Amino acid sequence: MVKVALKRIIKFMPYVAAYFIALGLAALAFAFFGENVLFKDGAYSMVKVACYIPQDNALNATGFSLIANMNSIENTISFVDYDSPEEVREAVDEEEVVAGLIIPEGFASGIFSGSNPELEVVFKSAETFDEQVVKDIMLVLANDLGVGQACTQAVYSYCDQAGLSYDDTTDIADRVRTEELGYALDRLNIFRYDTVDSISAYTLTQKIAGAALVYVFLLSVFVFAYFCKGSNPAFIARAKLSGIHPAVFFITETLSVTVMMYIAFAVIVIGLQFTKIGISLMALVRMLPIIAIIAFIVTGVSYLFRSPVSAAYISFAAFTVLMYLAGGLLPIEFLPRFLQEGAVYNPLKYLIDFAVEAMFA
Amino acid sequence: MVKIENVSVKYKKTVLKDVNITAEKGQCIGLLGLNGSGKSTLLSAIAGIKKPASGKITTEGKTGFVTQENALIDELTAYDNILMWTSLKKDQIMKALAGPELSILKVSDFINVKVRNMSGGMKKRLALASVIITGPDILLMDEPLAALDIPAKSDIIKFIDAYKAKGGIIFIASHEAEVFDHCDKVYHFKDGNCVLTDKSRPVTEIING
Repeated sequence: MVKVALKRIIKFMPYVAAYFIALGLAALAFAFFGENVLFKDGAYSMVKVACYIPQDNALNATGFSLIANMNSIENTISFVDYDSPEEVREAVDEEEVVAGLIIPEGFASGIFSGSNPELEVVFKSAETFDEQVVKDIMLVLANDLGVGQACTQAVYSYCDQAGLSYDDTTDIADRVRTEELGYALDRLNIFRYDTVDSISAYTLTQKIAGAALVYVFLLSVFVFAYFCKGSNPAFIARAKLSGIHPAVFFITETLSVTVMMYIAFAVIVIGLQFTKIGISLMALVRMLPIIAIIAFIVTGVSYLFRSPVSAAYISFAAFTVLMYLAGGLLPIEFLPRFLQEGAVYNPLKYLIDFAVEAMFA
Repeated sequence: MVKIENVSVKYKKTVLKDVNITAEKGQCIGLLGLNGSGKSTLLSAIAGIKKPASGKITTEGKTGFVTQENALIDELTAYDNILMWTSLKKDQIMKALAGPELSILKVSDFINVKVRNMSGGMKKRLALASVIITGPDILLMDEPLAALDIPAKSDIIKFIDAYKAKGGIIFIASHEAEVFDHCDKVYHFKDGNCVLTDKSRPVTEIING
C-alpha cells in the first residue's frame, strides 16, 4: 500500500502543481501589493480620530499638520476633519471614530495673550487595547502642545518681569517659537514602540503573505478532494474487506496530502527567496506541523462530502468566511468591533499566527 | 456456504424484512428489484459493511465485493490498482491474471493503461479482477453489467460461469435479464420483502407483477 501511495503522489503532483501555480501566484500578488490596496500613502492604520481645527489662525493648521505628519503619528492614527466641535463629539458618541481632538477658537493667538486655551480630547470609551493606546497618544499630544504653549507664555512672563521693552519681548518670543518649530520639524518620531505581542512585530506584507498561504493551502480541497477516496463507499467497502481499517486509509491519505503540500510549500519557499518577502529557509522545518494540520483538515473535509465538487464549493464558502473572521483576508482592524472581539475564538486566527511566525521568525 | 436467516436491515426506515436465503458452493444467486428495493443493502450486509438490525448472516470463506461504483484510482495504471489491494508481487499478479478464470477478463491486455484512459468495460473488468485476485470464496456483484457493451457483458457472464464451476458462490444484484439465465435462484425484492421467484419468467413481468 505504501508503494502505491508513493506512486499516487507522483502521478497526482502535476494537478497539485497546477493548483498552486494558479492560486499561489494570485496570493503572492496580493501579498506584494495588498499593502498598497489596503492602505493609502504608506499609512498602516485604520484607527480614525476626528478633529476640529478652527480657521481663525493659520498657525492652528500648520501646527496640527506638523504633528499629524510625524511618522509615528501618521502610521498610528488617521485624522478626519470635521466642521465643528459638535460634529466631533457626535462622531465619537456614535463610534464612527475612536477619539476626537478639538482645538478651541483662538488657540494660537491665546498662547501669546495668556488666555490659556485648552485642547479638548474626547473619548466615549477605550475598551480595547488599541483604543487605550490611541487615548494615551492623544493625551501625550495634547500635553506636547500644552508644553509649547506654556513655554511661550513663560517667555512673555519673564520678559515682563525683567522689564524688557515690547520689541525685545517680541524678538525673544519669535526666537523661542522658531526653536520650537525647528524642534518639531526635525523630530519626525515622538514615540518609540516595543511590543510584547510577537505577531505585531511582523510587517503587513509578512502577515498578508502568511494568511494568504494558509488560505491557499486550505482551499486546496479543490484539488485534493479528487485525490482523497474516503468519501467513496466503494473504497471504504474495499478497504474493510481487505482488512484495512478506515482510519488507516484516512491516515495514509492524510500523510500523502501532507507530502504533496510540503513539496508545494518547499517550491514556494525557494521561489520567495528571490522576492522582498524574504522567507526564512528554516520555515521548511517550522512549517511542517502546520502543513500537517492543514492536510488533516483538507483530508477530513474531503471525506465529509460524497462529491468533490460539493467539497470544493462548501469548503470555499466556509474557509472564506472563517478566514475573514480571523482577520486573514483583511487586517483585523478593518472588521467591526464585535467581530474583532470574536476573532480570538477563531482557530484559524491562531493557525495564521503560527504560520506567520514559522515563516518569518 | 452463505446462510441468511431472518435478516432485517434498517436505515431510517426498514429496508429489508426477514430475508432468508441459503447459497451453496457453486451457486449463483440473482437479486432482482427496482432501485432502492434493498438489493445493494443485502450485499452490504453479507459483506459485513452494514450490520443487520436483526437476524443472522453466516458466511464460510473470504468475501469479495464488486460495488456498483468502481473502487479504482484514475491516475494509476491497471497494475497499480491491483497492487493497491494485494501483497502479491508483479510476477504473481501477472500469473494470476493469466489463470483460467481471470484470463476471461483480459486485463493483461491493458495492464499498463491508466484508469482515466479506460472504457467503462475495461474499468469493470479491472474492478472485478482486482477483487478476484485476492482469492474470495464468495463474490458479491452489484450491477456488474450496467452500461457495458456486448463483448464486455459476454466476458463477465463467461467469468460468472467459470467462477461457479470452480465452486465459488456469487450473489448478483442486477436489472439485466441475461444475467439471471446464469443464476441458480432468483429473488425478487419489493417493499422490503424478498421472495424466491421463477427465473424463467421475464424480468419485466416479475418486477411489474
